[in-house]
Amino acid sequence: MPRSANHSETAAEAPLAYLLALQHLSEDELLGLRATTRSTASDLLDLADLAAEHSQIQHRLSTASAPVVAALRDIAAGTTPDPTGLRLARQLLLAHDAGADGRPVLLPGVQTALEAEPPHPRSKKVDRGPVLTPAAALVLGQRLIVQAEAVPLPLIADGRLSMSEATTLGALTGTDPVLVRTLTGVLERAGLLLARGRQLVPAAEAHPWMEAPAGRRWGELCASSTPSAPLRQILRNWDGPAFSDLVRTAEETWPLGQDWLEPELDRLRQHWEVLGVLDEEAQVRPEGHELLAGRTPALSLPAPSETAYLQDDLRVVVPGVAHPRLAAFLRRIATPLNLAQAETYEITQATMAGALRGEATGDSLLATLERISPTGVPQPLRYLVTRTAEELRRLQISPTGAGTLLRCDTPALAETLAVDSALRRLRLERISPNELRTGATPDRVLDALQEAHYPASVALPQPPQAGGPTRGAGPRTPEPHRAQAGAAPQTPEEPAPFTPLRDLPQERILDWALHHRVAVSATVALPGGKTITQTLMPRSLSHNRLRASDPGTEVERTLPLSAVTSLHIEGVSWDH
Amino acid sequence: MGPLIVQSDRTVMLELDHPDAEQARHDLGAFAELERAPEHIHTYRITRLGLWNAQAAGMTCEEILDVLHRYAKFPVPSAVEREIRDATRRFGVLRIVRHEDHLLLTSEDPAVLIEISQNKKVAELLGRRLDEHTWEVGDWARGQLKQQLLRRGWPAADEAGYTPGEPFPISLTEDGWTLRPYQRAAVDRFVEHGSGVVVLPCGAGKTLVGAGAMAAVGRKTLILVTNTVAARQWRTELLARTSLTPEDIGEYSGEQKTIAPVTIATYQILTARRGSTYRHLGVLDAQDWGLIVYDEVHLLPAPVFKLTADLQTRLRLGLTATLVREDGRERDVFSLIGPKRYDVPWKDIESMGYIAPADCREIRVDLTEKERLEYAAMGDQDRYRFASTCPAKIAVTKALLARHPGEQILIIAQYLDQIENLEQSLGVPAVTGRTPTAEREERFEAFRTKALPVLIVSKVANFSVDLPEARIAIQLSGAYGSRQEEAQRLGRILRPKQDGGSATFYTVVARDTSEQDFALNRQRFLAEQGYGYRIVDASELLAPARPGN
Repeated sequence: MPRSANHSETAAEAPLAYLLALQHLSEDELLGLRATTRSTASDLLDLADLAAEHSQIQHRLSTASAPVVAALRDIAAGTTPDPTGLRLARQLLLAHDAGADGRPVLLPGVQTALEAEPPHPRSKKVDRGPVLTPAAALVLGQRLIVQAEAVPLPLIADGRLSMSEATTLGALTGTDPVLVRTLTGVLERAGLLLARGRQLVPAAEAHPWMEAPAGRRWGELCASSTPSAPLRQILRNWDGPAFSDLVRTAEETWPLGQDWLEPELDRLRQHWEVLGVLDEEAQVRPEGHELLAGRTPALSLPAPSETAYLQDDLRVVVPGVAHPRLAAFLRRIATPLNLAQAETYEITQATMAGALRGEATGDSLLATLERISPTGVPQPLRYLVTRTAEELRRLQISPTGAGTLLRCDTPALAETLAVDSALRRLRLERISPNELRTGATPDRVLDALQEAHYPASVALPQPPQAGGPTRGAGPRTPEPHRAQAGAAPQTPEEPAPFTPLRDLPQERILDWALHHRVAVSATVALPGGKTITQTLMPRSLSHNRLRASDPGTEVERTLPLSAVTSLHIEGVSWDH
Repeated sequence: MGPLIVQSDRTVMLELDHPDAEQARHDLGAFAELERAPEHIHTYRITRLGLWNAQAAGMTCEEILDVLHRYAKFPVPSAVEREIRDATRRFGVLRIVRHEDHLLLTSEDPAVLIEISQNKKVAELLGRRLDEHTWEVGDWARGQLKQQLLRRGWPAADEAGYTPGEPFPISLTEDGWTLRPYQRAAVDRFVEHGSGVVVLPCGAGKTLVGAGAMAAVGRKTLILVTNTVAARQWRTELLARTSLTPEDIGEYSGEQKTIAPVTIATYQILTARRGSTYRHLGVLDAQDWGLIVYDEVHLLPAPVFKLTADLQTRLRLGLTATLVREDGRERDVFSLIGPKRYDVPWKDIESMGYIAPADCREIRVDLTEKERLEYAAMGDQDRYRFASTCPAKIAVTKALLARHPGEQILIIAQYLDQIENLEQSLGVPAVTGRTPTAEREERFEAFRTKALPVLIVSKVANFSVDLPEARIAIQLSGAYGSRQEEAQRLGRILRPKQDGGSATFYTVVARDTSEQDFALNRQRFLAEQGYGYRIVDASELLAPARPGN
């Protein structure tokens, strides 16, 4: 039941009914009832939502000890008309009140019950894991985005980066694989990486983010992981330095909450470790203090390099962190060997062939190389570019319905391919003096040809798709880009006009809205059968949850997709 | 911001354009290994072995870290700092000392002694346990024990000193010549710090470093070399540069068995066996040697490691152009000879004028259509040889000879049938493993005196052959991607030329074959030493000259 406008915050209020009632209110309605900040109102609504999640309630009920349940039953008997077990579970969650200083305090009955309980086991000692500095986190974040742009990052079934990929990226960047994995999750939550099926690709926001000032970038990453409302409340009144103090405070404040508190604190700690809020001793860094105080820290990073040394040994060295545009270009033409404090890449015929596919000559590539190198282009590299461009004109492959067609510039080349023992596994069949065919896929054919010293160009019947047959030779070479180096990543294709939009998956619609920064009007189902309609600006979409903000106030909410019953974008009706 | 970029994988990049680069390089080289040195960025690697080398030379952990922090462009990764501290704290925990007549392995940390003594291979080398801090060690086990301890990550500081050996005065006869500054520095470093390895490029005069060390030590000396030709070259050089007389120098090889105060023995003779017995190990004890010199120590055959491990009580000097061993046994060189005492990049010596600058070119030849078909149909195991010996290379060789009239040219090839073909096509003599020693020396001498301008050689001339006037080398085939061989072959033409001109190193490679892949590995090595190269199509070389050119 909505409270009256004259309601005041005192310990004598009945908080349970109050919180239960909140579930039926919108933020605006709640703000109309009591004087508080919008963020507090949002927190309260989140807390109410938490209570409403059936699965959590059942779990918490099952772990409540008998004396606590008994104490709560006593409380419940006096404060709520709902006699069911569900009510008791809610009371378990809601066995706190807002104290005079805004911090949650245990209701007296619950406190008494707890004092009679044997001590709860202390939360396990916080193991110190590997950490990054804020600057290192930003550099690694940029590198992961550039990597995802070149080769989408593979995800495993639970939506996390695969450990083998994390290990590979960790070796490349000189970073612990656990940190790589954690930071990938942070980037996704921050809306900079986007899950497409089982792959992570950069989101539209990624490039603008990489160009923003360092402090702001870092702040956005730190803000990407939103602790629950109870923990947020504690954080508001805590400023370090030791994380262990936060753990202790949280445990003291929510003694019944160890089942949800521990994983939350673990997640927070990992988040802070990977972002450099905490140092190796689990103490808050100065930048972290700024963050906790609500300020954007002034981070200074060395300016990213826009030039690279091109060496005779066909290696490219960037003496520092490459500017994203430069990094993207280098990923096109070379394989990264090391992306630590400096960056080293290796150019091979295979990587050069991948970069040159689709370009008429190597001249444009050479021009770019001249531009990025303060010391010119070494002759062996110049030779490689020119020669590879010539060789690509000699042999072309194209997909056919049943495999791949190979077209040679001379019958001699066709004959050589036909007899080459290194290509035996393709089972090439000569179909004309200059042509052969195989049942193998274009990808396989391209790899086999490259390995056998036959670089080939690719002719496609339709525009390339991500991960499709236009990829360069070798598993790690970048997608061929027809755009000049430095072009922003292409935005995902829009839903075609006149497509029956009701047939589109909801996630697809939200994904589109996310990338085009378009607000959606979403009807959300609430417990009890009621619905509300809200205008939301999608921020990120993962694990079947939508994070969105109110375009007018920027207050953010997280919703399960299952609660969204209807979506509407201006001009289109998409009833689900 | 300094010139060093310290990376998490313990590589360190040095930006040569930075004003502090020279000083940083000097300081960094004391504990980090130079991995590659192309034009703009040199890459060093910090290894445990390198750190222990530095500690053996007296450097402390704090001094090492200070160098990194002082010159770093970005903050030194904390993990690297931790690894350095961890590695350096291990050095000196174990010490080998001599007490009266006994050799002892000792440590202040009993736990470490327990750990290592529980290892089977180490335990076999230990004698009696005297107390919780000390084990007895037999003299025979000294070298092998150091080797095993190093493998287990616990390098022992060898403080047991040397058996001085019998005095035998030797002096350098510096009339009209003198040791070059880097040679003097290498000798001084060796004398100051003890047993170890000096790394100098081919043609930089390692033999004179050996002679200088012999003069400084003034004891009977055993010199171990790769082959008989090398033995004779050492003899010639020692007779010309020192006070030694022919009677003072003995050769112990397949052809002669003379022991003298200075004896030059070949590795092969040491490892010659009848059944399971090494018949000539007696040379190791034939004299009370005060100094053992290992020439081309990177080529030290694996059995010689074991056999000469017993020479641990003698002062030992290893000489090499590269510590890179294709079998990865650099650690064994460290433990059995000693740590690296001195090295200097090739390009530095070139800039001093002590080796000739070199221009490296790769000439790419095309297989004919018929050859390409044949190559394509072959199995992998035959392809390399087929490509390496393609007939098109002969035409290219002829064209190159025509381009360099009057120059001293070495043509180097791997395969005997290819060499025979070349002999016939070019009318030029060859030296191979089949050539008798006397005939080899005759041809080498003719080449030296310019009576013979062009000489074809097989891998026998890869090392230890002094052909100072060779200005052009044409490499037609080689041992796959052997970096060592590439270094040695280039070294053949790096002696400074009388006219101060540069040398040219051609490698002829069949395009789009496995030979090209291996060539890339070899050339990468050259590029890493600072030798840029150019790629030229054979068609350019063979095209008729345009009028007016």
